[in-house]
Amino acid sequence: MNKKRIVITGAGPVTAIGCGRETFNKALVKGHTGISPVSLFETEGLNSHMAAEITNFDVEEYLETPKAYLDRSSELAFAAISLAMEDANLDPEYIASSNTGLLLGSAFGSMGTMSLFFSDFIRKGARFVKPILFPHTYANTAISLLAIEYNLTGVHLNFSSGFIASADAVLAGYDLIKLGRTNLVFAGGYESLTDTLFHACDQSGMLSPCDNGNECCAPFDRDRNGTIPGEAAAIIVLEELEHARARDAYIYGEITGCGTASNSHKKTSNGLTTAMKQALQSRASRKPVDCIFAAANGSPGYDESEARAIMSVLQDKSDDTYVTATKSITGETMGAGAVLQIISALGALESGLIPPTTNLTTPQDGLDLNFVQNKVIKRDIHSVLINSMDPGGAAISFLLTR
Amino acid sequence: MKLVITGMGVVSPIGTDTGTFWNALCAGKSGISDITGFDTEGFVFTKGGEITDLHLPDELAPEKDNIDPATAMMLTAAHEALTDSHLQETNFDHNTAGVVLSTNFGGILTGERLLNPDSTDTTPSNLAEYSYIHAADHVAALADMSGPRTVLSMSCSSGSTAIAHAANLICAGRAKIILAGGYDSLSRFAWSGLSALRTMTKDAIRPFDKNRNGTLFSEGAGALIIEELEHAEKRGAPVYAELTGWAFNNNAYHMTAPSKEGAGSAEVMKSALACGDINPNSIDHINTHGTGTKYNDITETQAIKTVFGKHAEHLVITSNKSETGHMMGAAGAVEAIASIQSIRNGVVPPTINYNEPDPDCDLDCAVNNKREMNIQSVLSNSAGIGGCNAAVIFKRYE
Repeated sequence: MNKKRIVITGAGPVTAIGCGRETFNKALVKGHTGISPVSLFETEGLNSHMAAEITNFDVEEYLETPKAYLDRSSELAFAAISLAMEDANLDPEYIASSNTGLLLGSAFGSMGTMSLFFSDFIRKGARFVKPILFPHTYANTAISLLAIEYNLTGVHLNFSSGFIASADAVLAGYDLIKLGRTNLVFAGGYESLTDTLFHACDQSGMLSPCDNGNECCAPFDRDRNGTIPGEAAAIIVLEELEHARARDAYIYGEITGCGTASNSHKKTSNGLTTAMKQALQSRASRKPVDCIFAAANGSPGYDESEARAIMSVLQDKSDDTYVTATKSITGETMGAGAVLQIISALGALESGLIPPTTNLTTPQDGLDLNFVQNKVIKRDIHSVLINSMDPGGAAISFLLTR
Repeated sequence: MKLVITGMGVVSPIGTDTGTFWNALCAGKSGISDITGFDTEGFVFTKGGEITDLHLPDELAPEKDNIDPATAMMLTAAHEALTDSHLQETNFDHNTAGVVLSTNFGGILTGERLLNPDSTDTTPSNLAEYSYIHAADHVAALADMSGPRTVLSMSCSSGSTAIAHAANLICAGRAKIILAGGYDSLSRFAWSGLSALRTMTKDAIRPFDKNRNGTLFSEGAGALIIEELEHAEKRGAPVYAELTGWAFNNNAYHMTAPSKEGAGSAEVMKSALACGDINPNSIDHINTHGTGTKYNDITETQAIKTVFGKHAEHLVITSNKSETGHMMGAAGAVEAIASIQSIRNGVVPPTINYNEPDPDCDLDCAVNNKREMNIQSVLSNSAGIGGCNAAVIFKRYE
């Protein structure tokens, strides 16, 4: 592809540990966990009771115009784009008139409103459903509402690709700018927790069970036994370098490589290994990357497969690369996870502080990596690799450079 | 870089393979009948387009007891497309082979069990079976495709957007061959919502007819193999058409109403033409979104006039939805296949149920009878809830 360079000029995280880039990154390096007992709905009778919920959140602060109804996932997305816009010093008038693109992703979208709508159908019948709710049940509800709110008439993609959904959005933004289709896009993801989703996650066996109060998200730890879900919306501003310079934008980092692949069904290749190699291909330097923000979420198979993929990519140079997994702090935020990690990585590039993998006490035997355990590490950071992986085998990896 | 289509697969209410579908489409067969898949008691609208004769071969899904019906449709269409393109018989770099699907509702029949507050029969695997990426994982396994894998959900522009996104991934060098497709099944969930939107008709879909009064939804899947020409030639794949232009955008206007004079739709068609540096006058035929609702068909007509100016009078348009029903997330993919078949066979399939001309929808539509004509290029247009638009352009491969 051509020589266009793609930079990040703004970030809007909305998370359990805080909203806004600075607040979020400060909390992250302190290792302050966002995980606590579920308060949004009842968890009685379930195996798990913890989540990273966004509390003290008022969407009104982030809306340009009043709304009669919004799904919680849309609310989070509205907050994220508003914060990203402010952080990037973009004014609504400018983006409304510049064919700005919007690319988002979510694993489970508006599941809360879906179940609200469907409950009326089940309990009362077809004549008693609430018509106003249905347009809020679509997977593309949030993205379209955002486009309407800010008059974003440019490229428009909504990914429902599970845990890599927001990575897909960033990848598409990167490619669309490279291909000359646009100069400026918002890219990100969102995920809200609802009764229905939490119950289904609980039943699926992916969550760490309560087990006398030991419910815990401990990425790469030998005793890990599942993940803890989290809510988040995270949107970044991707811009062509010259475009960013022309408007004097502050540049937080540059995406210098991307990779996308998936597990071979016949097990002849690993998706994340391929994706990481592709992302690293563009690097002129043979020096290992300074740090990897891992997708690991405390699930036994998932974390091990990622660690082995990283080991195969770093080979004998693994001592020089720190590996951290922040989902023990933010929760597994699914469709929002990848962009949340990109924002974390921007923080690390700026401050030199690598946030810790909390709850990682004893790494699993054989996972021979330089983990950032329970304590923040300070070093000079030039390049960061960010991993995103769906349990079904699709993976995306980004290389971020100062 | 030239992109070509080297395989196609269809599961539709008028045929569950490409050949049967195309013959039925040209014959003006309707796929609409009374819904039997779920109890329509209490619903105002009771007609739709169902798939009733789908038999998933064992080799497609070893664990087929747990296959959601929507996933089964997508797998069947994907299997036909892959077989059609002879992919499994050739040596190819699996890491450069990707899957891009699209769906509005994913595995919704499984999802309904999770959404139903009173259900007692959910199982641990239900969440995965409902999830939108599930079908893509299964489809990728058919030909062990280990390149990019993703799923889009763009309401009724989904199928066309998947084709466009796949094309971008190939142009960006992330894959050389991608199975792009769309799928959706009918469900009580979707039906209760779509009924509430008041976009449906009680009798028949009459696109561009003066007395049209709504659309009818249906289920199915479509799959296309999109490939770099050089890659296709090297492995001796059949080449059905060239994919020359594509685009997607948003109206940024209203969740459920079309934008004024089809501004967003016009813009997306212009972008698709610009993307391939295509002269608007070279388009012979438009496979329209043509839902049969009052407003869609007017605004789409206006948008076509905006984009093509005087040439709009020379274009022949049609709406496949008059026969297949509105296949939701599958519509764009299935209509893309019809567009390619139109080029290959020199036939525009008819828009059926047409009785009375509407002065506001005055383009040359192939009404009630198929139209035989030489077709070099076709534009397939799509739009959806939320103001999503997408357009793709195919050209005769010579």
